Amino acid sequence: MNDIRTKIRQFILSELLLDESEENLQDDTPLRKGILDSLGTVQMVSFIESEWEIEVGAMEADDTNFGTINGLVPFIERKLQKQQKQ
Amino acid sequence: MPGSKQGVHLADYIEASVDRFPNRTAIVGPDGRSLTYLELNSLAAVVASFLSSRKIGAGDRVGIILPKSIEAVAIIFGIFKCRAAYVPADWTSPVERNYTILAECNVKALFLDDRLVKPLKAAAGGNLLPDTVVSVPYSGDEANREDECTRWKEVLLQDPLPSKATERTKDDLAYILYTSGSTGKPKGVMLTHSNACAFVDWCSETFQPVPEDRFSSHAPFHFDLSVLDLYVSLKHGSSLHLIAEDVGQNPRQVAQFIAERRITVWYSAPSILAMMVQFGKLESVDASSVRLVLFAGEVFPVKHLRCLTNLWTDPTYYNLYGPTETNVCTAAKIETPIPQERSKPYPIGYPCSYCEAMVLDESGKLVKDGGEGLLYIAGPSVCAGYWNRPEEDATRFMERDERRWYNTGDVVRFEPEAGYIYVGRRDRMVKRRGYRIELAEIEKALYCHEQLTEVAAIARSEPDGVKILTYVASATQERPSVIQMKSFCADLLPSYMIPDRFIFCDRLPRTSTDKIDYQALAQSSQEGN
Repeated sequence: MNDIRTKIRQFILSELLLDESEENLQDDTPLRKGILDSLGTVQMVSFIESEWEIEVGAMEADDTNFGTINGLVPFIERKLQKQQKQ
Repeated sequence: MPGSKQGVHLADYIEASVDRFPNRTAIVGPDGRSLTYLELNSLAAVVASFLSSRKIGAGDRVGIILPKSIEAVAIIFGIFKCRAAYVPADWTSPVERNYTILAECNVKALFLDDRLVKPLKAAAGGNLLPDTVVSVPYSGDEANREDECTRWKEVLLQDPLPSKATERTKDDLAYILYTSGSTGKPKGVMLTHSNACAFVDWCSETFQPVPEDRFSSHAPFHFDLSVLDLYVSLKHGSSLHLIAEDVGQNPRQVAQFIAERRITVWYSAPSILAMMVQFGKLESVDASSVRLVLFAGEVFPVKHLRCLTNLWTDPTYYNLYGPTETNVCTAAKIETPIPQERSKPYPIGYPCSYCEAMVLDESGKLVKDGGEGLLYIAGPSVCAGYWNRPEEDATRFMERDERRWYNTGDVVRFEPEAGYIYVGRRDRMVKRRGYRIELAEIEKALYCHEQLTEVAAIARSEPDGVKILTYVASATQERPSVIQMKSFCADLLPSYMIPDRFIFCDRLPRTSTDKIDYQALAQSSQEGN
């Protein structure tokens, strides 16, 4: 599961937060305040879908799931668990 | 042809449509609620009656800070019916910026989303909001209402104002649209009914709308693209389908919306279309209803446009061009399929029938075909000027050959076989997601940060659009983090203005006259710093 967190962090730092020090990005940093704009959100959706081969529903990229890293990680975990059961 | 009568006042269009199509659907809201022409006109008449009872009339400004809804459209027509003008502000923008807009043009009444009442009052500080503030509920309940606000429910108790109760003129102010200002403060562009009607009537001729058309309304009402959606659709008895702001930024939801609502006429900035091509899963979306795709506001990268035209082969495509001050003033039909080898952007085309265009060099001399210069536009769509900015009027408008010309600030080249080709800008205005951004407005916001001593914003063109880079110097060794800077900007600027990058320097480069050396910064940005 730490693997998910690490990959999400890397994606944010390399695509959305260039010039930022790694330690400043916390798990509860609000992403919807200037970091994850509309283009950033679709890039994140696309990254998650290709990285973990899951589908993110049109309505799922909301404040709860995409608001912080703490929201994103369990969201992806739930998706993966659901996929395994099927 | 019915429906293509030339208009003098935007309210006339809807009243004519009520006579012809009372029971056709006029608007469908994001939530699926809809109004027929009769219902829309009646609700607008109720709003007009309420505003008249508050002594609001010709020339008065009425603010609207609401999400897209059928009520917001009825409010706009209600404002027209009593000859006032609407001033739409982005309900998702920081309240401080919206308060500045409302205060600058001195609105006499305001329709406000009930969730924004408290924050706006806080932003106003000790200053007064207008006497009439109507709090419009977001979700049906009115839990957040403030006592001094009029409730939307109370407005609905009014008897409707009879049609044509007031003497309308074509020169009535219709709306003021605020765009980013080079002084760092938003500036209001004043548009009259005749300005808007010139454009709407041209759309009638060019796009031949029919009552069976279903128009999308993607642009927010504070964005000039909304003028086509709102008034062309309702003039022709077509239905207008409002897209909520958050849905409008989500390419998959937009693609599904087009399929579900069977949209026939689409109009937006290219950015959402480009996002749909890349992330919208368009190959699995049924867009067979779409007959017209119109785009404006910025350059559409050809690789994405080619993909779109390959996926949606049936529609006719138009590139429309024009600043808020003139509305659309040139148009180019895009021939499809787009050749594989084409990489250069499409021209902005030839002037619309109501416009005249000329290209002048810096000294005011006409530039010959093929040469580059500034594009000037004259004609009935050219706005009345800026709200309360005589010095800006003086620099952007001029009389020549007994016509009043607007200097677009856009550098173009005319090629007889292609029309006008957009070349770029010589000032500090850039376009992102179709919005105009004055880099000075970003700098002004950054200077509000107490730790920053020097700031400079520059724009860099990248294949997927414009990126905004800011160079900042801090007063202390301890610098704010990029996350803190982004959050700080989110409190002061609309989301499309938030810089992509913050680059900290000890001090910014200066020219020999001690001004910030933007050229050096631009060069350093191209080198990847």
